[in-house]
Amino acid sequence: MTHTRPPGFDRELKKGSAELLILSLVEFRARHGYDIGKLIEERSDGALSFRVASLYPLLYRLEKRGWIKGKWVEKAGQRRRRYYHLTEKGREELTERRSGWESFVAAIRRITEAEHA
Amino acid sequence: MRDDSRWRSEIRMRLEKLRLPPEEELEIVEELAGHLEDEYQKAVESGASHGQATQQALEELTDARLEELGDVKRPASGWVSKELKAGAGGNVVTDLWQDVRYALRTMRRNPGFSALAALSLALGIGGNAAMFSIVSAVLLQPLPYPGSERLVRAADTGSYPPGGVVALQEQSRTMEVAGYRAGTDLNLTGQGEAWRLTGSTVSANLFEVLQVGAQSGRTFRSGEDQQGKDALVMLSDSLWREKFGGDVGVIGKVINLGGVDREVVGVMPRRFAFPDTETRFWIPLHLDPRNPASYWAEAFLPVMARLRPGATLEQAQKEIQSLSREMIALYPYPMGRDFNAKATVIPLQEFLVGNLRLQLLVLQCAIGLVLLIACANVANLLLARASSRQKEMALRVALGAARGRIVRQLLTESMVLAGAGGVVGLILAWWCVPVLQLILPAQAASWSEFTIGWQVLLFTGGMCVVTGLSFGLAPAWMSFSRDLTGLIKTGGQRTSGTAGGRFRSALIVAEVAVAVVLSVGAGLLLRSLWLLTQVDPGFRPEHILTLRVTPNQTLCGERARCSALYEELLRRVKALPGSGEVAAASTIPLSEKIPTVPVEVEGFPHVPSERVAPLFWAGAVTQEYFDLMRVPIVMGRGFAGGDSEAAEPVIVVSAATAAKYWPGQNPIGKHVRVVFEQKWRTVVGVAGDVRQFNLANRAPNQIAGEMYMPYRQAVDGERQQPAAMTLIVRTVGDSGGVTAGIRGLVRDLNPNVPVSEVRMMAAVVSASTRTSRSMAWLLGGFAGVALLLAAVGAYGVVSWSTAQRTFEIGMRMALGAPRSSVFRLVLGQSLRLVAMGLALGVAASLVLTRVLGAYLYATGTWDVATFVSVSSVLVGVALLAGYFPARRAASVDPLRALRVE
Repeated sequence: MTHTRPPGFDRELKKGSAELLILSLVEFRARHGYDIGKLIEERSDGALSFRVASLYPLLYRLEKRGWIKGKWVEKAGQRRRRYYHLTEKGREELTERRSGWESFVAAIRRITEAEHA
Repeated sequence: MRDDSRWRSEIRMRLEKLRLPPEEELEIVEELAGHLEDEYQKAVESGASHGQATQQALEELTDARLEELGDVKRPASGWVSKELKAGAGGNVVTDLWQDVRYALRTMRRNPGFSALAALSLALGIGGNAAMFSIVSAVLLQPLPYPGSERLVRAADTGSYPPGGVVALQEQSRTMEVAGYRAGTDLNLTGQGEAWRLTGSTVSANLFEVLQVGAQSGRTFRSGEDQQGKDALVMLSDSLWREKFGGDVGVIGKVINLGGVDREVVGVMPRRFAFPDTETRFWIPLHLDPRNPASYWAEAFLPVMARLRPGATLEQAQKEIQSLSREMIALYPYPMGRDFNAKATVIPLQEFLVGNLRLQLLVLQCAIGLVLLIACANVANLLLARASSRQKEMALRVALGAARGRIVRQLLTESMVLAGAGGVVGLILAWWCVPVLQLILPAQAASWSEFTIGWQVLLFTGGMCVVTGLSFGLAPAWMSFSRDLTGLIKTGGQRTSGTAGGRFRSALIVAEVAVAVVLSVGAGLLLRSLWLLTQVDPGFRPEHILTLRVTPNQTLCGERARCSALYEELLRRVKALPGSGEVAAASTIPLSEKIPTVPVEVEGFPHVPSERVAPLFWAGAVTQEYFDLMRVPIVMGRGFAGGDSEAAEPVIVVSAATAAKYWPGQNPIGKHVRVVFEQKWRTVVGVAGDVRQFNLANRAPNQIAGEMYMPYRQAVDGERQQPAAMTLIVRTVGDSGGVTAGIRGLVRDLNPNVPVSEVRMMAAVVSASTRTSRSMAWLLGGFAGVALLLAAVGAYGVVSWSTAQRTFEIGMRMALGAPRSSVFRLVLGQSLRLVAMGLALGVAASLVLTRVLGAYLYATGTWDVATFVSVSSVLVGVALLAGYFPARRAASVDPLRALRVE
């Protein structure tokens, strides 16, 4: 699903993190699929990247759960694109996931830093 | 707007298995295609080639999880159902459209390849379309008469005296019979400048039998071909417009034709041209049963007919034989029992088409072969490209594209290519038709209109589909008959010697073989044309101007008047500036006019009950004729001033005639009698043989000998002194000035005498080889195109396989092979391919060129010289096709070649 360069990520972890990434990216503005994929890749400095074949099943699943909502937008001189935005239900999920993720990362950091110290 | 349609088919292929509802699929395809296009653009912008960028974008689709899309049900958006309704055909049509656009893009991306392929096809398709427009008009379209399939013509002589035509009309139960004679040449006078016109003499019921009415006035009525009622004429549309200003007031008026006053009864429609396009008027037969000489003995007429309702061709054939047999008893003089015994009836169209059928079919087959070569060539080009696209194909299959889908894509590409070839071909055809028309004799033009009509369009469309499939299937099939996985691993390199390579070589061998057949055919025709132009016609045509002077026959009612006219005319012409020697003759060699008289030859008594009298070609000439034409008098003398009306009648015979009738004897002093005369004519000289009929000297079967008569003693088949003569002038200067001078002289002597058929003798000679020449040049042109295509094909295969063998060649050179041996290796490949094709082609030619037998002169179909020349040309082609790849191979740097992977 997520196509991650650093090996060793657990499948469920990846899946969970990917959903979190997408939800965060559409939190404040609606974005189309290519935009989402590109942002993930850019902001992770290429460490994370999605292929079309894995990105879209994920987007559609999030939409089915009612967390995001897609809408076709046609602009003059441009191709028709489907923009996704966060729903109310999605916002609740994001808040919950984010805090869960932050505490998880904080816990990991504490452990790994202690080892290094 | 960015174009993302190229991705849709790829995405669809991968979604096929999921069997999504169309709305859902359309929406997913739309979204994913947009994404891939963005990826592609990004890659291109960052410097990737088209191929790399495409591959990179397609890799985006590589993931088994794509299938999970099938689990996610989404409600369709509004535009989707709208779009689906608009593209009513559903996916098939949309896919097809996408395939076409993809194909067009592929063509644009390889402009050189596409242009070469489309041009090859355009040559083949265009040539075929043009040829077919003529074949269709001449052989397939019915004659422009109602129920024309029931029109027939008597054949195998099948001509009858006027009395015989009437007997057939009265007695036939299977046919409505009409007689007609083409080439009734008469003067139209009293309407400004005198005109010589060609018309046709016909039974009064001819138009009824053809079921064609007049455009103004009426056609002849029953009985109007009887003596006393026949002073009538019908005009062709062209004559009516040119001479009478298209005025319907001319109907009912009297005009003078050939010295006879005739009432104009009607004007025929514009397209009506029976028996041929030369016909400008129609006059009725002059039936006079009380004059047995004209009713039964003169002017035999061809007969045409319409089958009566219910009657069959076979019944008509049986009937005409029995009627012809019974007719023998009706002749007022003893008639050969076998006369018209073999008469039969054939469809009128078959008769009019005549030898043209074979000629057209040969040419259509020849150009068909050119198309075959073009197809083989394009198949080869596509195979070459397919091998470089194998990796792409293999990848697409590995990524889950259905094989059927890829085949469809490949076929669409070849169809689009064929379509492009077809469009360019039609333009070529439109351009070629007038050229091809030149090969046709005038008679064919009388009923055919040569246009690129719907039949031709249909034919061309069909050709495009068939050619597209034929050259497209091979690469499509080849793309699957291989180990695709292996290909991905090797990257498609070094596959020479595989099934594909062998298949391509086989195509080239076949191409060369077909080109050889065409070249041998063309070679035989060109060689026989060359031999024909080398024939000594028996006279010298240089600087000879000929003009037809045609007083009405009535002028010669009195011999002295006619003779005096020509003597005076010749005297005055001789004095014209620019004219040298001057003579007159009733006919000139190779002019297709064959004056004949029935004769009895001394020592060969005529047996009336057994066969009809032999017919002699009988030319009437003035005494200067032999000198002027440079026809040698090989024995005795030519004509002299003393050979006048009152003197002893004399003739000069041709050398062949003398040898035939009096072998080993002195022909001088022998006698020949024209059967309707009492006096015997004495042979006073023997003239060198002249090709009177055609250069190949194929005299019509019925001609038994040739004799010349001095003009003042001359007689023609109608028992008259010929009034119409051809002036022959050996000019010393500008022939235009002489022509104008002669026209003025004739007008001064008699304003009612027209001058026509102004031609240089050299042009007459050249016109006589027209059929041979047009066949030779056309087939030569086809063969040239075929050779060119085969050469391009051979070059393509050799240079492709050389490129594939770069590694091997590098290896050989690294192991010490000299450059010359590499050069020979590659050249040898080209020679081997061509040699195999040559062997096959020569074998096929020995069988196939037999159809050309009828067009050959002094050349067998097994002409060694032709076969040797064609073989040399082919070896040249092989050397040329192999030279460039060989040179490239010999200059390979072994170190770099070994690194090629």
